[in-house]
Amino acid sequence: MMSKPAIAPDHTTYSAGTDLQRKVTLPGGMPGIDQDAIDRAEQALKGLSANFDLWLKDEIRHLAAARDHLRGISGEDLPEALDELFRAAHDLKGQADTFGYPLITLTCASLCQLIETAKDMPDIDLARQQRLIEISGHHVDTVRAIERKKIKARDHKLGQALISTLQKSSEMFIEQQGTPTR
Amino acid sequence: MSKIAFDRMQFVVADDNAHMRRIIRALLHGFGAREIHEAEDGASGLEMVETYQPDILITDWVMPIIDGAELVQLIRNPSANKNPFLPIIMLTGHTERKKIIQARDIGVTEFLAKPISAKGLYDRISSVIERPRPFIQTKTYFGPCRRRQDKPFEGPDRRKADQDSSADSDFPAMAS
Repeated sequence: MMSKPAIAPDHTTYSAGTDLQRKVTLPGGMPGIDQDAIDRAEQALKGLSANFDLWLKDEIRHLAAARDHLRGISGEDLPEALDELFRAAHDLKGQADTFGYPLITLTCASLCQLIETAKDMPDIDLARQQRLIEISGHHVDTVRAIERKKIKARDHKLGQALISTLQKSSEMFIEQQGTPTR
Repeated sequence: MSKIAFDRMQFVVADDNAHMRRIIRALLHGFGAREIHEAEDGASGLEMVETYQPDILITDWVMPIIDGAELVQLIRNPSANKNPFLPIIMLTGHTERKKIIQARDIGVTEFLAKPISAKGLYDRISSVIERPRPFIQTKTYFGPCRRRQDKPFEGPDRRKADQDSSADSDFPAMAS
């Protein structure tokens, strides 16, 4: 709850509410960060880590299903199918690092960027649509290869080379297609 | 001794990804929180906010039907929501600058980019509690003041009332 607002000609200011602060700040508590709380949370996360390989496989299955759905799709069905692939890639981008696979995060970041840019492009012809689907598929294959080979090191040379190739293919596709509409 | 009594707090976590919800729940549990309500999408997130009146909403951005950005906009509507001042932490895989600016401009309180970490989440929650910001309502914006109080504001002041020292006299750090 905020206190009585201060009204000005072009805006109203509600002073910062302190109800939550009063409710949850313990008297005599030490200022600054509570390292014990952070350590307990890290332990709790570690406790979940036995599930991470399984969860990663689950997310990759979802990504591959979205890619499979994309095959053979064109025209007005394409944006929705791309959205589905984007959501799956975006989920993996956000989680793969936590699961111990930073290079999957980078691969999915490249795929997300490709899809986001492509969605804003005007009138992609059929051949270019197929090329987009093809490059997206290469990203998915790379994610699967990184998981299959258990590549967990961020500086893994082959992994980095693969991602660099994907990024170049994506950049070339975007350059050839022209400027996005927004 | 812990500074924040997490066991007195209530959270709503909106994320369409079940694994991510498990991770957030584990971290909040680790901090000491006990009341955590999980929503699978923006629509049920809004419903839970209405039902439980949480202290903090943690929401993902990319979700089907109603996404995180739309959820924030629905909450920051003073005429349609019981608590438009609700602190909102946007936890997202988006890391682009334009998305961070967009989050700020729709009224997100704190932005946290994935991958999530215990310290990152703790810092955002702690910031919400220890450094609450005043709310500003203009014709086009309702949400936390976008000028951080602990950072001096540089550049031309476009807010008319900031030129009138009496209007904002309670917020000396905001006056540029």
